[in-house]
Amino acid sequence: MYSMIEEGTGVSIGQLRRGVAEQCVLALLTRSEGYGFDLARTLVDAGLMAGEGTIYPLLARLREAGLVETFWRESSEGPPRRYYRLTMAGRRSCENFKPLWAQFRDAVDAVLEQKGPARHAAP
Amino acid sequence: MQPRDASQKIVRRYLQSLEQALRSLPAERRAEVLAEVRDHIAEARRGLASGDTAGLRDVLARIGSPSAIAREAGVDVSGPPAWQDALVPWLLLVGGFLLGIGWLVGLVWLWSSPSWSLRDKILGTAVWPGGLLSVVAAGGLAVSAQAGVAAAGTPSGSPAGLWGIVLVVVLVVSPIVVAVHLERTRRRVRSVSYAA
Repeated sequence: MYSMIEEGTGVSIGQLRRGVAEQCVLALLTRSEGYGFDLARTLVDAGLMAGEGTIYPLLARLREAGLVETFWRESSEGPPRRYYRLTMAGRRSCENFKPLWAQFRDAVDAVLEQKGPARHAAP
Repeated sequence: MQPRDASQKIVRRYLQSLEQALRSLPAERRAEVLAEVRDHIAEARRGLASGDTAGLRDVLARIGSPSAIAREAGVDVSGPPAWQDALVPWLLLVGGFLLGIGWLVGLVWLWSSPSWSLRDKILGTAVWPGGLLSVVAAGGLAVSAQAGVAAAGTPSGSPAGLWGIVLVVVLVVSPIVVAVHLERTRRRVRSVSYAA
């Protein structure tokens, strides 16, 4: 099971990011294979990762969890690059995450806007 | 220094700090992250002019601090508080004057901190044990020995005088240089911005 928020006395942007960043990497890979540099740039530009370097331990974790696999591809611009693609387990994880995230997002929004649960219309 | 050499030096120091921050990882995983970050830096530098050190610092700032990458890799970067690390170079240098224990405290904090490589720890310990207190004490002994020799009637103005001055300068300056080096290396692990 996936723990999105670290236990602690409060949640920082950093903590939110760290839980979600892995799923975002998986989501990026559903569209196409990618390599570290590109994935890192995209996530940092989107504000989902603080530093580009953290993508490498993250990808190593995904590899160990069997959610991605890697292969080398020749590059015209330099040395061969290490590419990543989703495994079946990775694809499933991504699909499972979407409704979870939607639920979580809606729940947080509701609390922030201090709306109660949807009330049934009174007769 | 040529601009390109300065760039290489900056990259080398960043990677050394990263290696230090990752040292508690298994060797294979550490080597992997280092290699990938090295390739990442090379790719990010492709758009830069070879002497562009400001651009290079931007690249490294975007990559993030060694401790941030180590944290992502699961390394426990909590370590000693920043102020404790900050005191180490100066305790080693002048802590001996605080009843001698200041140097010992600095030594213990030096060796228990993840902020310095083994090489730097050995350097901080060996140059010199006791810090400047030892230099002063040795100087005191030398002066009293010299006074003893002069009282025995040997000719004064011996060439030992000049070499003595050189020796004193080396003895005093060396631990200061080491303290400054320790101070600068400490900063590199914890932050991204640092002097070349």
